[in-house]
Amino acid sequence: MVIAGTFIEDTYAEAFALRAARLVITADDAGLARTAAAAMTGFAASIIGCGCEAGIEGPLPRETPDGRPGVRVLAFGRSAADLQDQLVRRVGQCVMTAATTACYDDLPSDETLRLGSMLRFFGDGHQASKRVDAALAALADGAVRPRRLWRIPVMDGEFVVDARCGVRKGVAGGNFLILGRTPAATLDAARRAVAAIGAVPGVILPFPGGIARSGSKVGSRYRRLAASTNTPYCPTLRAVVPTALPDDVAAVLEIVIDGLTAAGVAAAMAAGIRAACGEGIARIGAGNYGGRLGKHLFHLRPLLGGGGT
Amino acid sequence: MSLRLRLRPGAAAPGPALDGAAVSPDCLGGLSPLAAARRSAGGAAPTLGDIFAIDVDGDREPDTITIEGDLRGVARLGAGMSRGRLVVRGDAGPRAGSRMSGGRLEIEGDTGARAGEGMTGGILVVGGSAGDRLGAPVAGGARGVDGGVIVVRGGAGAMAAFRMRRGTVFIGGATGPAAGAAMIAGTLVLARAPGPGAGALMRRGTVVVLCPFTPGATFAAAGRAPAHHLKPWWDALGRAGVPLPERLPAARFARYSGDLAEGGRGEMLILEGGP
Repeated sequence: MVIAGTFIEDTYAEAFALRAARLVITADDAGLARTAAAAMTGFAASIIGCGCEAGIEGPLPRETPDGRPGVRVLAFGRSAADLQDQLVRRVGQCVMTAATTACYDDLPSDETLRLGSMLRFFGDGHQASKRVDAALAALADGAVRPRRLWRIPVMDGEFVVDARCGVRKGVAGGNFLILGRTPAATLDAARRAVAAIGAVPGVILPFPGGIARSGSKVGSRYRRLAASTNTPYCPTLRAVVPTALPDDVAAVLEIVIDGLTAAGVAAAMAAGIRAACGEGIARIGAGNYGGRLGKHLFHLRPLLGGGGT
Repeated sequence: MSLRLRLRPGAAAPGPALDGAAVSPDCLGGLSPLAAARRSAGGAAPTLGDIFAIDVDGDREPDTITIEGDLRGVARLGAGMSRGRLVVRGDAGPRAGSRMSGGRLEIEGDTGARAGEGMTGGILVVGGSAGDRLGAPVAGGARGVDGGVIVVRGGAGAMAAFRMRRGTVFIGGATGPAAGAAMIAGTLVLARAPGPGAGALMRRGTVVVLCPFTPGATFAAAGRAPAHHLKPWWDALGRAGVPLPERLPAARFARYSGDLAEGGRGEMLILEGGP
C-alpha cells in the first residue's frame, strides 16, 4: 500500500488499556489556561517513568462549566488509585498555583476518583463547597450536570475544582513510525502528523511536541532496565545490530497516541499517517510486541482504507 | 395516564384548609379517573371525587396531574411528592410541596405560607408570590430546604429559606424580613433587595442579591470578584425562564462574609451596578 509515494508497511501498532480522566482547565484568558495545562501535563510522556501519561487535547471545548476560555486535558494511569495520586499532585501543584484557573471534570462516569475533595484541605478550614444537585440539573434540562465543587481560598480569589472526576478505561500506546530519507523531511512529516491529529477529539500525544525520537524496545542488556533504545530503528547502529531500516532511511520519529476510545486512537492514527506521507518519507511503520502485551491492535493498512496482506 | 382535577364549587369553603396531600403523582399516577375519585382525601375527609371532578387530560405527558380551581383553601398540594409533575392552575393554599423529594410542582398563581417546607429534592416553581416561611423547616424541624430547587417569580413573605441547608431558592420579587436567616448552607438568589435581617445568623451558604443592597452590621466586606462558579445556577434559572441580567456570568460581585456572629463562613454576593 502506497500513499503519496510513501510505503505503508503491513504491520500493526499494539496498544493497551489504562485508566483515563479528562479535565477542563479554565482561566480568565486562554493563555493562562493553556499555561496551567502545559505545566500539569509536563513530565507525563511515558507511564514507565512519569507515573502517568497526559497531554492537552487539540480541539478546544465549545463551552466550559464556568463560561471562561479553557482547554481539555487527558491523563492516563495504571489504576484509578494511581491516577488519583497523579492528578492530585499535578492539579495541586500546577493548576491551583496558576493565576485565575479553575479545574473541572469532563468525563461523566460511574467510577470516580477524588480530586477537589483531597485538595480542599489546602483551604485550612476556610474551603467551601457548592453542589449542583439533580434538581438544578433537571431545571436546566440537562444543560448542566450534577457536581460538587470545592472553592479553595487562594491569594487571587478562589480556586474552584470538582470534588471528584470520572474515570474510564482508555487506550494508550497507539503509535506509528515515520521513516524518512532525511532528518529534516522526517521532522516535517512528524509535525504535519501532529497538526492533523490536533483536530481529532478525545486523544493526546503525550510526548514533547507530540513527537518521540527515543522509541524503546522491551528489555536491556542491563538487568535493572525494563526498556532500552529501539536499536533496530537507530540509524547510527545499522552497521552493528540487526536493523529494520532500509538503506534510504536516515531518521525515524514516532508518534504515540493515547485516547479515550480505540476508535479515537484509530482515527488519530489514520489522520496522522495520511498527513505524514509525502515527499522524503520512505515508509510508515508501527511499534508492537508481537501482539503479546497489548489488548488493542491497530493494523495500519485497514485503518487507512486498504486491505492487509 | 394524566389526570385533570377540577375543584367542585363550594368544596373548599372558608375555614380550615382541606388536606390536599393526596393530590400528587405519587398517589394518583397511573390511576383511572374513577379509581382516583375513590381515593381518600385523607383522614376523615371525603374522597377526592367528592372534592374534585376528575377526568383524563390527554394533552399532558404521563405522570402529570393538573388541578384547577380556587385552591387557596387546599393545603399541602403535592406534599411528599417524589416524581412526576403536578400543575396547579391558579393559587394554592399553605404548605404546598411540603417535604417533597422529587418531581416538579408548578403553581401558576400564588401560594400560601410554608411552601416547600422541609423539601429535600425536586423542583417547585411558583408563578406568583409565596407566603411566609418559604422553604423553611417543617414544624419542629431543624432544617429548611435540604435539596432541590424553589423558583418564585414573584415575592415571598418573611423568613424565606430559613435554616436552608442545601439546594437553591430563587425569589424574583420583594422579600420579607429575615430571608436566608440561620442558613446552614445552600444558595439563595434574590432578584430584589431583601427586607431587614437578611442572612442573619447564617452559618454557611451563599445569599446572592442581584441589585444594590447593604447587608447588616454583622456582615463584613471581603473584596470584589466574579463568581464564575455560579454559571450552572444562571444557566438553570435562565432555562426555567427566569429573567436574569445577561452580564451575570462575567459580572463582579461585592462579597461580604457573615454572619460574623456565627463564624463568618457564609457569604453574601451583591451584584455590582445592579441588574
